[in-house]
Amino acid sequence: MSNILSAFRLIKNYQSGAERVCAVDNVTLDLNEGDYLAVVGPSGSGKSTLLHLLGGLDTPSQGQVFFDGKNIYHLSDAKRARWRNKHVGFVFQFYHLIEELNVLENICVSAFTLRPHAARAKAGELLEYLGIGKRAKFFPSQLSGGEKQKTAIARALINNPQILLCDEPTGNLDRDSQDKVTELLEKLNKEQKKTIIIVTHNPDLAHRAKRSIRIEAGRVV
Amino acid sequence: MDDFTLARRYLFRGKARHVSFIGIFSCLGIIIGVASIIVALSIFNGVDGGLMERIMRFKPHLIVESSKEDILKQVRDTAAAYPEVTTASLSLQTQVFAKFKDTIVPLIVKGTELERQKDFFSRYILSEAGPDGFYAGRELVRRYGIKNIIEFYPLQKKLESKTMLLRGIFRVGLYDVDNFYLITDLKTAKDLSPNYNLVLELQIKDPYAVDQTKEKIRSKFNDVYVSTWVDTNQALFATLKMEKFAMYLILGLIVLVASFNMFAMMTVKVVEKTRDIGVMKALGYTRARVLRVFALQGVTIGIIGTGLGAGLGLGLCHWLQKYPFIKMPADIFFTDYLPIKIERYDVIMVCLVALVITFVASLFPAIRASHLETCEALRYE
Repeated sequence: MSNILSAFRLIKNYQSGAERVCAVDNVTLDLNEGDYLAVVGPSGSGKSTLLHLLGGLDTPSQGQVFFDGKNIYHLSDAKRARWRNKHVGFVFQFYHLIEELNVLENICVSAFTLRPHAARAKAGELLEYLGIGKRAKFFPSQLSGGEKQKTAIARALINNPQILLCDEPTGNLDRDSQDKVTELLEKLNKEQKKTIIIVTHNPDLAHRAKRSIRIEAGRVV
Repeated sequence: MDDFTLARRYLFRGKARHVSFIGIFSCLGIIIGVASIIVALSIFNGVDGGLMERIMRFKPHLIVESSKEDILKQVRDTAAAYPEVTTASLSLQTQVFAKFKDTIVPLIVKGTELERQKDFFSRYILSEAGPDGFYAGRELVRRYGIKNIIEFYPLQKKLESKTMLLRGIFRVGLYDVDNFYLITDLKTAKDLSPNYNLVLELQIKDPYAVDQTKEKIRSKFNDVYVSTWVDTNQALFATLKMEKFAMYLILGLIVLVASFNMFAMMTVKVVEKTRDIGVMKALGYTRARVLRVFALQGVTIGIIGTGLGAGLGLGLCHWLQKYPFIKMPADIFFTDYLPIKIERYDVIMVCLVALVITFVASLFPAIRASHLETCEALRYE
């Protein structure tokens, strides 16, 4: 399997008042197509920061992130945004759905390259695939936590990205919903060969990943 | 999903289909601002137009002066052939002291070539009594009970009483003309006083294009003095212009206040939607695209507010024109109802200014939204 995303000696420092905080400290990792990586560690260890750096949301203090051999931080802001739109899907702990949009619209919100009717059709397919086809016209406030997270996953998948970056995707769900989302991510990895990186506190979710790394104080241990 | 749809959803749809009242109230601010400006300007134009009409009702649009009557006649004959000139006649003004029972009243006698003034003066004549004598204003006739003879003293070294027949009654609708003027033919007026100032008076089809005629006459006749109604009312024009500018300024402030309201709303919205902005960026929205989504909200409010405001303003103006129920004292003003005159240029200018102001008001919050750091925005609680 070919290498799709790699980080080389990534460092991210923050200035917090007079103190300099090193959120990510010299992290190097490689991800191949179809990988399923769990990133675990205590709160504040730098897991989410690492995820953001891998997704091109933040700028590293040092180090590089390569996608298909190209350093994404050599791209301009706009080009990196377009790269993210095409190749990366984000799933957040608190879903971050847009409250003013219904489920279908939330999924289509970043489908820039598709025509509106094609985007709606694809969003419909994804909803069916995720088992919430009947919720298309519902608003986020009318959904359960599990349904919201499935909607967020559908939104992440609308542009058919190779990489799925999930920040505590089950962190805000009940047991039943956690299982469903975990199964869904496994299914996406197996059936669609998505490369998935999950930041989680959930040991069950971490165990079901193909491999996992532990981060403490910004370092891989 | 296109940016405009997202902007519209943010603007008018609250959570779970509820209408966003803040968006509607921002729109209302612009609607009321634009409508009130259009109505106020139309009233101002109505008053302004009425005043102009009053100025031009009896006074000539162009006066040519010369010490030689022959030259004035030449100018008259030349100017009468110009297509834009409707009336060209010689005239003079002198003063007499009219005697009504025991009262002596100073009056102005205007002598003019009545046969040339037919079209212009005849519209004000209410009744004719005979071919000779003075036309007197209706108010003058009523006030002093004039029957058919007017006794007066012409302005001469030796005051001698004379009488003249009442030739007819006119009503111009101007207080001083209807109360203190006597109109007669040129020859009669000339006979009243040896010292008179003869001038040539011209009426023009389009009084606002009077300068062209002035130039034509000046280029052809060097030894005449030409003045227009614009020249003689310059102070008034300057005042009206200044008043209109002040009105634009004051009314522009209404829209500015409305746009501050919009600016505040958009700023609150950007703060409120900080996490959404983070999500948008995580999903691949560029800065330009985020800016567009938020600026489009302002543009939408601007277009809807300005469109509805213009519609409301014009509707109110037409309604006031059709049903002039707001009365005014006619003896003070020139009309007994609130005059309304809609100027297309004013309406277009108001709409353009409102659109620009609302766009600028939404631009700054939109720029702020586009520059938010993605990670910080995502962490925003």
